[in-house]
Amino acid sequence: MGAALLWSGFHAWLLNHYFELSWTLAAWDSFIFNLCILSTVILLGSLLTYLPKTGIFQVTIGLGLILAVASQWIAAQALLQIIPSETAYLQFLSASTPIRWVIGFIIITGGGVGVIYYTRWKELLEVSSREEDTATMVREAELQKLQLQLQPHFLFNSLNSINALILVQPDQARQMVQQLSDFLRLTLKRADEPWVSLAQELEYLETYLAIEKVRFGHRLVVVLHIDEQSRMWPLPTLVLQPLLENAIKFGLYGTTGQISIEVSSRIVNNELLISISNPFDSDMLPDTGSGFGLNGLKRRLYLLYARNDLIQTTTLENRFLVNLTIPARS
Amino acid sequence: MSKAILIDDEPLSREILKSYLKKIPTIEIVDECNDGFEGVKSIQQHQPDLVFLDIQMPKINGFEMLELIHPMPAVIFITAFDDYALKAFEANAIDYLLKPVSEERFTKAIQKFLDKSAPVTAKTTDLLETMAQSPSQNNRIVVKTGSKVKIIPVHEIHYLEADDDFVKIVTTDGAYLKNKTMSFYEQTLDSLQFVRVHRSYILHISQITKIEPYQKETHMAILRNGQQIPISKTGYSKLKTILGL
Repeated sequence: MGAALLWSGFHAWLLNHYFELSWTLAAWDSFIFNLCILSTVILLGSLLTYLPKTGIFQVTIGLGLILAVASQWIAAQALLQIIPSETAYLQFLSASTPIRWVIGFIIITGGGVGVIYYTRWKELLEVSSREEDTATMVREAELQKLQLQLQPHFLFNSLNSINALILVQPDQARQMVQQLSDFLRLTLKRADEPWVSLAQELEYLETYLAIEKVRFGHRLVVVLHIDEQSRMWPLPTLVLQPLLENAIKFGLYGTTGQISIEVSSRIVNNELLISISNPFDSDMLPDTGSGFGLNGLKRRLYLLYARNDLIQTTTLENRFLVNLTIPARS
Repeated sequence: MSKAILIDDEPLSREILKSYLKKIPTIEIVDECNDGFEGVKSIQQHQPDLVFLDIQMPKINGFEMLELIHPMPAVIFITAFDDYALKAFEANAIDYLLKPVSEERFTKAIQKFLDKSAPVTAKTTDLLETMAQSPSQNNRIVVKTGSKVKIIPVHEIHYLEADDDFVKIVTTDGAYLKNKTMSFYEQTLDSLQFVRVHRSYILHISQITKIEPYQKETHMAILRNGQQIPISKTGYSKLKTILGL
């Protein structure tokens, strides 16, 4: 509104200063013409919201032209009615018609284009805030699900081990109670920390592995190859632990005898690459791959990075390999 | 004196059973096993009266192991948490112990076994039928050839054939006998992939290359390896519906 007033003032001053119109005439001229332009812009703006999105700029230019001519004609007619006796002014009015069309056209079309961009921007804002909401909801739900998944089996089996240790090795039982508490505390803490460094995640893995080793120490060997540079890389929380848990589970239950789980990490092309491998027996079902519980994780990574290729699985000489890529945090 | 075998993949889990069993002089532990494969062998060798059996074990689970054993000994199941199995236990009124195993509960289970109040084997057979339909088991069949245990993924099956009291499972690698009924497999296998085309045959649809008319109203299926399988009149109409002919 301020801009419209300023422009009208400028319009009147122009007429008064360069075309020697009296202030009254200049004011009338400015008021009527600019009122017409303003109402036309509003009309065009509301019209544009109902028009199809394709070819909207061509339509705007076309409409701008027609509306500019029409609105200026209406303004001229109105002035004829208001000030019929000023012959000199009316001559000036008639002479300045083309220039008024051009100015009207520029303002009206400009206003229309502005309205288009403004609507688009608002839509984009809405879409992205909706996407964000969905993503947050999904992530929270999945985090919760992941946490719950981890609990029952693991917890009951650990308690059973502690039960046994109390009988045979009471000191180790106490140690395991401590390890289990550490692990549970870290798990709960993870719920509030969407991002952690690889080093932090490894610390968490250690507490988890300590417990698994009490249960399966006779069969389970875990080898870590962690590149020093990769330690501070940020990654979404609770991504690595479920992968390791899966690898251990499929390694332990998919084969008999000793198993080794290998975890390696390094940075390549500004992306963190982590690979986790476990042995599997070829006479076990091929669907261990698809049923590996990776779909939820893939979805989460997609929500975070908008990429579908961050988890890849392959088999290599009786080993099942999961390759995880964590891009730089945007 | 009763002979018992412990089958559990976690040494600590066996440890606790051992310490509880020490106080029961009438039961002697004759062997301990780390998985179902060792379990099958050990049971064959020792013919125990009682087996303590963990359910989640490497490669084949406790139920699949039991399917391979005849005659079946008394079994006390032990599990940490398995919704499906727990429901099956309840449904078949079978005694089971939950991890962590309490001594009190353990003693009760032993008492039940010593009283021999109920013939357990019939119930256990029903239980195994229920478990064979569980999500973790319904895409494979575990069989025994000689002393070796083999896991057959169902997609490798060509067809199943009735063979007296057994069912012959024919695969690319050969044929295996399983002590089950045809109607059991008719019910448990995926009905979109396996069709009972004949009183004595269940056919894996993906193995069929051709169906030719045979005598009167019967047909003959030609499999990928050239083998011919008879199709009865009702079998043919079932096949037609599934194949959308």
